[in-house]
Amino acid sequence: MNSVIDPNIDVVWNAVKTVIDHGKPIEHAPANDEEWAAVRHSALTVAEGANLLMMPGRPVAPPGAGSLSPGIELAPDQVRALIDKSPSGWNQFARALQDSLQPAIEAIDKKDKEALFEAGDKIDEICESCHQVFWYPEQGAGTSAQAQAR
Amino acid sequence: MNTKIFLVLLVAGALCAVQPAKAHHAFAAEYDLNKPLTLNGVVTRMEWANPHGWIYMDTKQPNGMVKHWMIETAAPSQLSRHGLKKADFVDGMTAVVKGYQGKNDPGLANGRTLVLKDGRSFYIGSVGGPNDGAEPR
Repeated sequence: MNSVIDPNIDVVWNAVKTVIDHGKPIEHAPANDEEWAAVRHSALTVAEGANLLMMPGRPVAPPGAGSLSPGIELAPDQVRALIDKSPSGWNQFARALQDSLQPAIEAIDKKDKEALFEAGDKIDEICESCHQVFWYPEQGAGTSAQAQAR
Repeated sequence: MNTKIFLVLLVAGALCAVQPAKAHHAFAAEYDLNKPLTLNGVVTRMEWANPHGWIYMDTKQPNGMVKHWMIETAAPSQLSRHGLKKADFVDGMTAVVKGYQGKNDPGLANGRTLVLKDGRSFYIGSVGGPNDGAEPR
């Protein structure tokens, strides 16, 4: 996730955005064929990375890796245990991630920056939904502030 | 350290300072729910970007010094759903943001509500944030 999915989806998300600097909006989007190709490469990498996520028994992190936030985010072996407990649920999220990349790739092929921005939003929804089930299940939406602070 | 290396590190540091964190994490991994805050200041910049928006705000400290804040918001689609528009971010605008302080970066915050000078109030909280009453009912 940290080495393949995350850096590449950041490329897709960062490809189109608006920066409003002291009231002046500056639109960011790929400016030429090479830049669009780079975004497409990253989008395809994430889509294909979803196939790796669905490989049965595949480690979710390098050996020895621990939780990035102990007590809040699960350690890789705990994530693996949750996946093994619900492989169909995990695969459903992985397929949803893969499917969510399709509109992004279509937008890239059309050089449609608005459509790519909208696709990025849908991809984020899939990521967050999966994370709330398999990465930080105790921190899902609706948890009280007090419970999260513990 | 020679001057050239120092300048390279300085530029690298400056770039890191303005580069929003992109990775997804649990809310409580990045923000301290025991440190709610209210920021009253001038919005200098807004990044209308996925997966989160970022408001940059300058607040004046009691000693007169200006403190720069980076405030994470919900994704732009959520902001739009709650009525906030890119056009609301005008030059020199003042605003009040309520939210939570970052755990590891004293200039980082997660916004829950944004109140503009004209009194309009917007929910800007991220998905997965705390259920602290700020969210729309």
